[in-house]
Formats: sequence, C-alpha cells, structure tokens
Amino acid sequence: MVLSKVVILFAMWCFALGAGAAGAAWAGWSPYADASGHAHGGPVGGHGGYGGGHFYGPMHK
Amino acid sequence: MTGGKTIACPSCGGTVAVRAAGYTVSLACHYCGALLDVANPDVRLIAAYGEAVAQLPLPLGSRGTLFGVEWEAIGWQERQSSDAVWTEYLLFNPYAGYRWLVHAEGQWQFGAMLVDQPGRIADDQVVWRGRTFRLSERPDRVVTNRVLGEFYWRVQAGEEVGAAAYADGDDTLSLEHNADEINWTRLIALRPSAVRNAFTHPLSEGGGPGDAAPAPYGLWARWSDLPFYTDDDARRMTMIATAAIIIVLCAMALLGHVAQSIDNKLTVRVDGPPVELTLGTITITRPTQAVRVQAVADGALINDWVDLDYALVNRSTQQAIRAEGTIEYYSGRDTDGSIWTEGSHVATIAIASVPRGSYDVVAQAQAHHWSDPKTAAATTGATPSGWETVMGDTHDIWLSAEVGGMEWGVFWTVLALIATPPALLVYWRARRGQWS
Repeated sequence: MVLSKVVILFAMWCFALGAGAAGAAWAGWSPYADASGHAHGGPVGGHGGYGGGHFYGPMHK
Repeated sequence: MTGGKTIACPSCGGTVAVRAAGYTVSLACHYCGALLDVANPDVRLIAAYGEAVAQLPLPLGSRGTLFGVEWEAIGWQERQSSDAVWTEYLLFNPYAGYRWLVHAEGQWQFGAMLVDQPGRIADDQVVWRGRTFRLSERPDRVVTNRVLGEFYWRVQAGEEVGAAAYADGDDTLSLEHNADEINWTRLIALRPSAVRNAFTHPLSEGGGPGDAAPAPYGLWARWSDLPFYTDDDARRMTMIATAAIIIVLCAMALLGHVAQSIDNKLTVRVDGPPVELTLGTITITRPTQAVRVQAVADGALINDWVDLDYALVNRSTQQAIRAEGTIEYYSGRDTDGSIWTEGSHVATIAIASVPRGSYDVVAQAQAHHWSDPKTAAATTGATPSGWETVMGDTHDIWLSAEVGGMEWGVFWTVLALIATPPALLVYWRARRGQWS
C-alpha cells in the first residue's frame, strides 16, 4: 500500500500523541488536576477555617 | 456506445466485457486484477495480481457527458511521483477517441492528448497556441502502481516515465516521456460537482466467477461517495485516527487503572466546627502517580455547602500535598413559582504526579447553611441576609481515595488533536468547492 506523505506525517502525529497520552497515564500527569504532587508546608493538622475568601451560594438569580 | 464483446478471464474464469473492442490492447480483469493481452485471439495472461481489485469511486463502465461528448470510463490506473499519488481514468468514445480524467488530491482534471506540441522558450516556459505556460511541477519520475480495465497500449504496473507540468491559470500542459516517445496532454480543471453530475454509476456488466454479483461495498462505499472523501488519503487518515483513538483509550485505561482504593465516612455539623478524618494510607509505587479523592454527601444536604480540605501527608517526611474541594447543593423557588436546583452532592478532586511513597489521606470538612432570600422574605416579612444558619443539622460525607484512574481530560484533548488534521483537510477541501 502506497501512503502519501501527508498520511505518513499524520500517522507519526498520532503515534506521538498516543505515546504522550500513555506516558501521562503511566505517570499520573494531567494539566486538568486540581493540585500537583509537590509537597509543601509542614505536618498537617491544626489548621482551621475554610475556603479562603471564596464566595459560596448559588449562582442562580 | 461501443462495439463490445466478452472474454473469459484465463486467470479466474470471470466474464469480462471489452468495451472498446478492436482498439484495446491490454485489459485488467475487474474480478481478479489479472492483466490480459486481448490483442491475442486466445487472450493471454500477462500478469496475475493477488491483491484485491481496487474499489473505484467511479466504477469502470460508468458513462458521462463532458464537453458535449458521452464518455465511458474503460481504464483506471494509480500513479505516483516522488511526492504524490493520484489516479487516472481512461475515457473512451468510438467517434471522439480517448481522453483522461485525472483525480488528484480531491481535484478533477479532464485531459486530451495534444497533436501539436508546445515549443520551449525557456527552461521553465513553453508556448502553445500563443499562450505561455510556466513550469508548475518540476521534472520527476512517475510510476504506475496499479491498473484496472482496458488500455490502448501495453500497460503494466511498474511502468515508469519522466514527467513535468506547465500551467497557465487552471489550464495545465502535462509532459510525459520515455525512451521511445514524448506525449503532451492538456488538462482542464473540472469542478467535482461537474464530474459527479456527469457520471452515473451503472450496474456491473458481465458475469463474474459463478456469475456472482460484485461484493457490496457497504458503509465504506457510502463513506467514499461523500464528496470530501473521494480522496484516499482522507479515508486512510480517518482509519488511522480511529485506530489511534481506540489504542490510546485502551493504553490509558490499562496504564491508568486504579491500583489502590480506600474509603471512610465522617459526619459534620452544619455551621459547627471543622471535622478532621484520616481515611487511611495509600502507597504510590511508581515514580509518580495520580490520586483522586471523591466526597459524596447524603441527600439531606440542600442549601448547604461543605468545604473540604485534603492533605496527603508523607509518612516519612510529614510533608503534605494539599488540595481543596467543595460539595454544594442549592434549591429554591423562582418568583414564577418554578423550582430551581444547582450544584451536586458529589465532588471529586485529582492530584497529579504524586511522588513515590506512603501517604496518610487526611480530610477536613466544615459545613455551612445558605437560606433562600425569597423563601425567607415570604415567611418573615423582613429583608433577610440570606445567610441564616441552621444549627444542629448534620451531614454524612463518604470519602474515598484511589491511586491511578482514568484521566478523561487528557483523553479528550488527545482525541481532539488526533481528529483535527483530517477535519482541517475536509474543511480545506470543502472551502475549495468540493461540496458545491
């Protein structure tokens, strides 16, 4: 089967994306995560309060 | 239209119609692809091809009127240069002779061989009938990959010629030459709709092996009938994209499976103090992995919200990875009496790339109440603040944490990136008028 250059290029594009997605799944990486896995701060506990100034309540008007 | 006759293919036994009998020299059986010498009275087999006969968007035997002449498509060949693949149909009319219908990258051209050859006036210019044509495609080698149908010369796959093209607007002069001859062909651009309207798809002529009808093309035939899918590259790209998306989905599901899961429950009092709970311990075994925490509130949580602070505390270093979530669900009645709701009883958060180690999953929850100002105004007659508290109510929150899990955001992004090139190709061709 003869493949044109655009088809070969597209196949390489699919392969690169697929490899990237598989690698992200393996490493648990995501740009959409709510937090990243960087440790910060000291031991947990004793911190109270909530939110941090967010507005709560329905958006419904 | 032509003085047709039938022959029996010596390779497969199928009955093959010779449409331009008396003119045709070689013919490719449209059942098995075998190349036959029909100039020989006994019909000799030139070459047998094991590969399946190509399914043509314009079946051989199709008749159509172009430029006031009814043409019959009698031959087809796939040809290739160093950077392109295209197909050519050989058209025949017993009074007008032979013409070409060239199909390249979704574009159609009607070709007629020139009897008066252009004159060369420069390395990249030729003149023909007073018009100057400039070099549009540099000299290249062109190879015939596959042939089907009948031809007036001894055609064969692998045939190679030198070629170049000169253009003046949509008018192109194509030069092909080998050691024995030089041919010039004038190619005129055709609108795809003109080709579609000109040619009808006739029933297959003659009987195949056992007089079996040709295999139905099914979905792919209807697919390839779509005007923007007449080119094989778009079909191949779609097939590659579909396969890639399925493989990506399987790979992500396999590599991102849930490796470990823990769950627990806490009870929080509305407008009471924060409640802290350690769900349990999770262990990250890979260099990094994702952790997802889901909180589900009981159905009694209405017009309340629960702030959730999460921490993954490394058991070795006591350092924490923090994240936040909120469960909020509201309901009320509009001035027209209709009931509205907003929010959800479920909140899921994801923490990406958590390093290898053992972690205590700690959750802290604090619940608050929200009052519908309209409801409060109706019952008290006073202007409410909307933030009255209801003391004493409690809510159960079920919490679960899992290591791994499918990241759908990444999957949908990859799906969009894979689908974009073929979609752009279709869009680009549509803008060039192939749907018109």
